[in-house]
Amino acid sequence: MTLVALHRLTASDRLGRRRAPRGRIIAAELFLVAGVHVVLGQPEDGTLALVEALSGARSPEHGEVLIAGASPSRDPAVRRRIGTLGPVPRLPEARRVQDAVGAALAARGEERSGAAVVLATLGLEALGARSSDSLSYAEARAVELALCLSTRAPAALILFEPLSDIALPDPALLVPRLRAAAASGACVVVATSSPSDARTFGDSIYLLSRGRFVRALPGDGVALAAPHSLPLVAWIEPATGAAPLRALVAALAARSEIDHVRCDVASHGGGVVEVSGPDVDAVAVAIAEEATNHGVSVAAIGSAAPSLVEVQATLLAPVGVAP
Amino acid sequence: MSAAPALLRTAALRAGLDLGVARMRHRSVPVIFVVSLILAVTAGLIERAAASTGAADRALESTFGWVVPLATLALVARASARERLLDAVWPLARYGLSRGSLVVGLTLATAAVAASLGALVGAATVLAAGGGGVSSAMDAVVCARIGALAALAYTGLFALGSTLLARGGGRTWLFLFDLVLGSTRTVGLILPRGHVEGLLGGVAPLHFPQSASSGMLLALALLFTLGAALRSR
Repeated sequence: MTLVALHRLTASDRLGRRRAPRGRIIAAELFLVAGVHVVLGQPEDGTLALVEALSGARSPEHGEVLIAGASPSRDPAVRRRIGTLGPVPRLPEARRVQDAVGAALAARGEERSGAAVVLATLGLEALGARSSDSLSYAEARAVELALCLSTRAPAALILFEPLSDIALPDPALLVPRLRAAAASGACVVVATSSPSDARTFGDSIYLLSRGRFVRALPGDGVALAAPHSLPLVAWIEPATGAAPLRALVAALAARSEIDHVRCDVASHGGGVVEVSGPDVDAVAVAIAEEATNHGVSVAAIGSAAPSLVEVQATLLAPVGVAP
Repeated sequence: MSAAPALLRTAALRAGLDLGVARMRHRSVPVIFVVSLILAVTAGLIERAAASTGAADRALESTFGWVVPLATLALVARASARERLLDAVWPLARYGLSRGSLVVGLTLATAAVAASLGALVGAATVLAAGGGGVSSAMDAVVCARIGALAALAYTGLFALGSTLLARGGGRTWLFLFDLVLGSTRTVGLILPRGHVEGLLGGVAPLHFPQSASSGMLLALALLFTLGAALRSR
């Protein structure tokens, strides 16, 4: 069953300077069922506008947003079933954090006394006695996330950058909680500009570019990883010294399985070596072998996540037409 | 009409009232009261020093022409957290309360505070200009009532203005609109200024009798508040 429907939605946010829009959604058509869906794009691509429209904070300029068949900006009853982690935390005004959470619960028709439980589910109980004014941006977002996840019988959970600028004691709790909400029948929409976060969350990924949904990708993130072009990064232990590091780079550059090597030498004698090639496994083995040969101690090898710009450039590149 | 939406609206109205009361407890509100009172009393004393005859009438012109509208504007700006009303009630509306009902509750709480301020400065102006005595005391009661009515109407007007333009900037434009056109015979009919002048003994829009001007101020307060609620839905 479709839980979230956008019908020719055109909407703007008001989060730029002097309340000017940072981005816009243009004539968007999207129909989402229960599951975790990621919208990948920058605020300028329209992610802020999308989150504001889905949460009901702002009415669409044209078209409509329906969540469980009702408009979130016009129907208060459906807003009770929408949990939102917005770009700017907007908690109810109260002297202490637990009173603010209690006011939110009361607005949802629940007992104010449940505030402590809501905070404890994400390990935020220490914030309860704090003054609301004393919360940092990241702490306020964490409290807002706790409220979002505590939504009863949620139709939709709308989250903007849930892994950025958020003071969660244990961020690993988040993904299972979102998956559990989706399994119970909620439509979870995560808006992010991080391809890495998109791969972490999604059952499906929708690429948003300049206000339009341009691609739907499977949630496994394979399309985002683009492994043939991704470099591996080797972090070299401090005190290795510049000479062995240069020797390592020269040796790697000479190997046939490696296309490209780049090195940054740090002042402490260590550094970062970025290596790319068609076969990631072969590249990793080459790094390990040459490091052993040259007596260079490698702290870790990992894959560098592509930036959103790289993803957009890869996926939206014009396809050549055969004559 | 089913019971559930009515209950939701009542809950939202109460939450709006609580929000308004909380915002009226801000430290800037006593400052607005004190500054308004000082201005009103000073106007009264200056006019009495200039000429005791008609001093109260002249002082009331400045109090009801400037002090009450400006003080009410400051109170409404405080109540709406210098945002659009739509955004000012969002921290509660997002959890399932009706924005329109929240706006009505918020405006009612602000109107109560503004009315008490209007009554206070109206009475203080007359007492300062009249120098006490039984007739001054009776005039003070009358002017307190006019001040309260004026503040109610201005609260509604500025609440409606707070639904317009970015950050509710429409309230400032409506203040200027009332300042410039409020005393005219035609447009003044739908603005508080002309009716307040009528209650003070001047010419009301369309030569309304004083009793009608009182009713018009109340009706304007109600209509503007409902307009603000409808625009915020």
